[in-house]
Amino acid sequence: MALRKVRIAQGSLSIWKRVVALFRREPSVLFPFLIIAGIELLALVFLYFSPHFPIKIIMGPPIRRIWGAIYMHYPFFYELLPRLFYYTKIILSIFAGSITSGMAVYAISLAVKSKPVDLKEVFRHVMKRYLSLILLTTILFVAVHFLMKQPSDLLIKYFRAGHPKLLFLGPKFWMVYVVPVMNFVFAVFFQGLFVFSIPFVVIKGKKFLPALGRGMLLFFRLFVRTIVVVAVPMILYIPVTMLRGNISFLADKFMPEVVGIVLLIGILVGTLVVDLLLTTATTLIFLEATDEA
Amino acid sequence: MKRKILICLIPVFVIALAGCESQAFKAERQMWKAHKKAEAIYKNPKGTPPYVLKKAVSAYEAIGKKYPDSLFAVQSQFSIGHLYLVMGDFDRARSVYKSLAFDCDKKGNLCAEAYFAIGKSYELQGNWPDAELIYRKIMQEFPFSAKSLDLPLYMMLHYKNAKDTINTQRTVNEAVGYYKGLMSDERGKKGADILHGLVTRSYLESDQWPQALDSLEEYVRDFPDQNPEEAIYIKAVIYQKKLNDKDKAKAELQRILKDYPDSKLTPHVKSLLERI
Repeated sequence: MALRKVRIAQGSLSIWKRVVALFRREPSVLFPFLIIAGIELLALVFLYFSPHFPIKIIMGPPIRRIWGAIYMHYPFFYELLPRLFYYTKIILSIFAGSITSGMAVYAISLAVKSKPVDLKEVFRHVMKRYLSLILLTTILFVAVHFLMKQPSDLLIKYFRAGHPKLLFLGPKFWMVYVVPVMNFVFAVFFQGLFVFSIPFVVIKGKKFLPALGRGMLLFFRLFVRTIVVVAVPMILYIPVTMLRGNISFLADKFMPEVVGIVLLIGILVGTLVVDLLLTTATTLIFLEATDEA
Repeated sequence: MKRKILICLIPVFVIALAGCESQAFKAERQMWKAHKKAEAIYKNPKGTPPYVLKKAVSAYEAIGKKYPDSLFAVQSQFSIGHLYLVMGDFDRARSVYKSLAFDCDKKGNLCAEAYFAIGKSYELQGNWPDAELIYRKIMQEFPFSAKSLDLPLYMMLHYKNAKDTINTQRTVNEAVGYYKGLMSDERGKKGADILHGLVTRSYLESDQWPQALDSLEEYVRDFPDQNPEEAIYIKAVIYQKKLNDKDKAKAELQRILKDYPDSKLTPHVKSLLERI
């Protein structure tokens, strides 16, 4: 079968057309995302059945010791489930997500260059750069999940210390309107800051530190375009964030098991939509910017 | 082929896991659903139509039938009683509680709880003498249950809130006598510090400051391993806030700094000393 070369057009809006065209022409680039979504799904199933035999044997002792025996019981277990899944996702993102992200980026680069995408070969190529990918994913994770929470944590401490207002605005306004917007802006910024480092590792074969530095430089060079391309898929995740923010209400209104459904939606949207679009679009921008296309 | 078999095995594995749910977990889920049905009744008992009450009661009864020998059966019976109680049907509530008190093994917290619920139903009906009779029965028959330890103070607070000084004093004396009696019992010796704490609380709740101070000092003397500095700190607060004796309050705080320099209370003590 003759492979046609994908033309890379200019502009942030046209990038989505190219993303869809790429998926149509080379569906195998979707495979790494399906793998990580599958792994996350299995992890969710495993955690979901933690209070029951036989998984109880493994999960029971740490849950009882860390959070208390009550969390092995209905409905309290479902309060703990999002946190359990969050910690599991950190581990999966660092150790498995780093591989699948690398595989996706490399597969996209091969598809754009009209080369055949052999996933086994892609996997071998990525595994040679596993350590750098783990380090990059860890840094991205720390930045997105810890640093971006600092301003909201500081605000909480500020208001808990007894201050009634900040810049003439009360705590409700800050926590309900400002903090979510701030969190989103920080998430987009940090995601953009590190998004080109993985392509530098897997496509250009750079080591960890040079990849990190050059990725950041490229981000600042293509600042507006990258921010727009990163923000668009992340907007799609806002409904999931809202669902997760109201998870206790939903559990109480319907039934606690709904927590599992919300987490499942999180996997489907987060991994199979947001990560997929974000990785593909930014890799296309990277290839264009570094004349790899 | 192998891959296809593996993919087919995953849903089988998930379904098998779902089937491994324990009876206790299932009962907890059923209990939660019954509680949900009861929630609306608790929110608006007067506006609850009979069929809503019937549904909630049936949900609890189903748990009793499905898990007859479990604690869930007992809990569901209590919940049915509470529903009747909140609806103002005291006789039916009591009949449910009495069946629990009759069936229980005459020891431990469960019987005490069942009797307490009977007492509470009298209390809510405005019949304090019958309620008090039941409470005294609990104190006599189940002296080391959690409920019986609460009840002397509970009764004392009832009279205090009713501004009945004579009966308040009577029940304080009874409470102190009751707790001291339990301390002399062989079973009470293990929790002597807790019982002594309840004696002190009896004096504190009834605003008997000199007796409370003496009781706290006895605690410091008799329980040197049970954070005695906390008792001294309470003494200091009583001197400062209730007896307006700043010198004695300072002396007690200085005593903590001198005798218990490594105490976790030290920052609070220093802060209070600065403020006095």
